[in-house]
Amino acid sequence: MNPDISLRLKSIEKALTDVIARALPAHEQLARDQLNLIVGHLRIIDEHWRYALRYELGTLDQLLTLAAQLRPFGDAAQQSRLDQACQSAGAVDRADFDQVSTAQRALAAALDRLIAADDSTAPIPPGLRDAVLAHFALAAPRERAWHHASHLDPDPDSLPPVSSLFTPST
Amino acid sequence: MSVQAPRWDRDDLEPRIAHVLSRKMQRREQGGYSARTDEQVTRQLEDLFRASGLRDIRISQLARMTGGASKEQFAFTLEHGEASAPERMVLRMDPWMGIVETCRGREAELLQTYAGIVPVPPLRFVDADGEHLGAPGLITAMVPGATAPTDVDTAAVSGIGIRFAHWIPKLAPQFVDNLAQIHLHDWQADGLSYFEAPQAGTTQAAQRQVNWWSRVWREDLVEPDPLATFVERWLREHAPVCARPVMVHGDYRIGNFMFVEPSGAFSAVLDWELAHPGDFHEDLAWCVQRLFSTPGTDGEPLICGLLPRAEFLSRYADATGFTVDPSIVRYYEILSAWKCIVINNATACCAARESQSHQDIVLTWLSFSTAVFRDEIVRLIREAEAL
Repeated sequence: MNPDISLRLKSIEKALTDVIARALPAHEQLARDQLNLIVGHLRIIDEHWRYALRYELGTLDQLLTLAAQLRPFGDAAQQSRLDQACQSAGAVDRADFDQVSTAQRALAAALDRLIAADDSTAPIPPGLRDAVLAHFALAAPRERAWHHASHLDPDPDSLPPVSSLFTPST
Repeated sequence: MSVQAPRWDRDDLEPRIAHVLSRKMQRREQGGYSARTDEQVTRQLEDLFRASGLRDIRISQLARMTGGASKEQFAFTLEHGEASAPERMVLRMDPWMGIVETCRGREAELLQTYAGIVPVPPLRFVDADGEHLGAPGLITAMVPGATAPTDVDTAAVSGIGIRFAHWIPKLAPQFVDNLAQIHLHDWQADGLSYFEAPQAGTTQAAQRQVNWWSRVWREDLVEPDPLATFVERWLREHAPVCARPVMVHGDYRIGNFMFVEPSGAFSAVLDWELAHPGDFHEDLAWCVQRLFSTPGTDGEPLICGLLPRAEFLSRYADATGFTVDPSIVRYYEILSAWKCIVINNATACCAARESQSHQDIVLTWLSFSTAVFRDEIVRLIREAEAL
């Protein structure tokens, strides 16, 4: 497509930094701060947009794996909800961002219900604990890398570049 | 007949906290929020001052302030018939939603209680329920100083990322001592009306915190999160006993204290809005969070940019005479990281989605930090289970 998305984003950034920022009075600090964040968001969007679908698909697939691991810890109702969410997730059009995103949220909600165990005071089963922690030990660093350009990460040098998060097959 | 398993009591909250959370849900129904204009703010201030009995009111030099992620803040100069000289003041007002929902009445009571004990901005006026300002608000005198040194290059959002460099020897002792003074003060003797202490010798201090933030999580949820749900259950199961409740500041960290140059003397401990009666370990755990650390010259993480962890905890124990229990610090580190997920991922995104704040863009930016807290929680729970 021409002009492509990156070109349009860069044009917006240039207008904001070269024209709009210079027109803002120096004492309008809130406006200047928000302008800086707009530019930051644009840069992150420019990095994210080409990978966004693959990122969401990766998250969905990771949750499907977690669902299989946690299913034995649920009661019949929780298992049924989880099965339904997994079935829907398996049937989504994997080229459709909205469908993937919706399926991912539905699956996460079903997992939430199972983990919360109806607010029971029963101790957390060690197997459930280990599976959840193992899942997020992989998922959290991936998410940190995805958001590295926010500069909020205290250890940015440990993060891989966003492009390396995706293999050609995903 | 099936017997239902026992369930956690989710409803045990300080009454005023429950009130402000309910009030937030009512405000959400009012639709989107836009930044107030100077004219609106001036008119609302005049209403408040007239209701407070002032005459011949003149408000000038109104200027919007930046910093923080929850309140709308303005500096202004007030002159009136009873004042001998103009005074520069700061107004903090609630938008429909900020990154946290808190009570200006509680904040005002603490500013009065702690005046003279630690440096705080002097309280001038409070409108706890927004009767005159249109939204809850609080007015203090302007305090000199800044949250970051002027001679150290630094880029920070909401205080995160400030570097103190050669100012550390002057600032670090005050940082510890002021926290100690907050915890040592017998606030219950001051008759504060907006606070209710948890029962000593029980797990109520921790359970109430879990209840507070789990209610926020449920009400502000944008996207389900199995880790957040798991951590909530873990926190309920592992809640420690609090032997002696103190006043917990709740947001004692880098970016929330001001100092003057060149002395380096603290001029104010800021942002008391999250303060609550609870376990002193909670403030220690909040301070030591990874997000608030910056590397020292040798690369070692410095707590709030000031001290290595072990030295910070040791100096605090010396200053208070309290015994710091590492397993309870670890528990509250997990609670703090979970609370940050609630704040940054649920409330921040909810406020932005519903257009409830004057700085939605700041809120969505801060939500990027959630991944850091998720990663921390995994490590912390594994370490806690090994303790």
